[in-house]
Amino acid sequence: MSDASLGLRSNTGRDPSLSLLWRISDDALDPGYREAQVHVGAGEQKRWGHSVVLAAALLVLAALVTAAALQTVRGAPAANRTRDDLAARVTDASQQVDAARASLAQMGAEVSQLRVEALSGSETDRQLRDELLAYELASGLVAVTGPGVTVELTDGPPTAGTGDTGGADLAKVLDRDLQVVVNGLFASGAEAVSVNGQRITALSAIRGAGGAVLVGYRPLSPPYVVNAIGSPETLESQFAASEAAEEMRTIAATYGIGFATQESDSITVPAESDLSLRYAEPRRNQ
Amino acid sequence: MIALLGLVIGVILGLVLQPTIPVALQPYLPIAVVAALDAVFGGARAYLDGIFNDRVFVISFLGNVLVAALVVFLGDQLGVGAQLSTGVVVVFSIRIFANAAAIRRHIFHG
Repeated sequence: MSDASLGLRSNTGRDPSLSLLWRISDDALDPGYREAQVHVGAGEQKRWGHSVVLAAALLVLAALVTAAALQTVRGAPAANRTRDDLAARVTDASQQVDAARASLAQMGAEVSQLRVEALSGSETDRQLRDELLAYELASGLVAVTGPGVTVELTDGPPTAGTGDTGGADLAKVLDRDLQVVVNGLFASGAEAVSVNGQRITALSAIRGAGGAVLVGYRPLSPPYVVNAIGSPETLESQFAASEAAEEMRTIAATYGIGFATQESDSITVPAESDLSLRYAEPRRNQ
Repeated sequence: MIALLGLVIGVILGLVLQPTIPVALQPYLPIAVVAALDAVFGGARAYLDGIFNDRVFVISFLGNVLVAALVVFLGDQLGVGAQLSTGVVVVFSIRIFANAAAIRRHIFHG
């Protein structure tokens, strides 16, 4: 097939505004080849030197392509390594934090135990000890156990959100829902509440960050189990009759979120190990 | 035959020596490779057209690589390196496709 016929055929119906692109593809074959053909003619013999030059050029070409390929291949694992390394360091650090937390909780328990033992001599000591225990119980510094209710919130089956929600999944338990449940439980007379093993104290905040629910600064994952200790007679019934439970039932019915309440004879709510106040100080001149 | 030998030795050299490209030249390596590929496709098409000329091939190969790298280098100095790289890649890609089409016609239509 000659290029002339190709040119004629494709010239019909060519968009002139694309002439630059047409020229590139028409001149795809280096014009030098044809010119050399015209100048040299058929008479010239192939010379030894030419072959060597060609071989050298191909050698450079092959080395270039190989080097580029190696560069890319070597570059990719390096990037992966960096990411894996960072991920490993994050996991490592969070494990260290967990270990430190556990040891903190254990030491806190030991300190309380020693304090109770130390404060068992005189009458004033015992009074002080009881006062201290009451404060510790109320503030959430010690783990407590007792009868109560367990509220479980689970994400519903994923739904494609409608346009006005920006495509967000509506069947997800939000930080708001947990706030409503926890507040409802406290309002119904709960004395100690934990969410997924995180004690809710006066310093706890339940909030959302991205899609995750955080208690304090610890991210939680569903299902969310809220344990509350309170009167076995009134806590469950009062919570069931509360506005919070009503709201959650509506949300559960509307969006398919799981909302279940269960009474229990013995519930353990863990201690919050880190309750240090940084700015507030006890008032002494009473 | 000696050309094929050069190709094989080039690959072996690249694999054995594992040349480390200086960091300053690294952005130009992919562009140089694309330019070299264009020269290779052009040479293959010329060979099938029966007008292959080793001198033209060598000059077009070296010229392509150097000019492409130079254009991108200039672009980098002017702050339009990424755009010029795209331009160079587009132009060479069109040429490679056109030459590949010609090669394909040679192979399948005799």
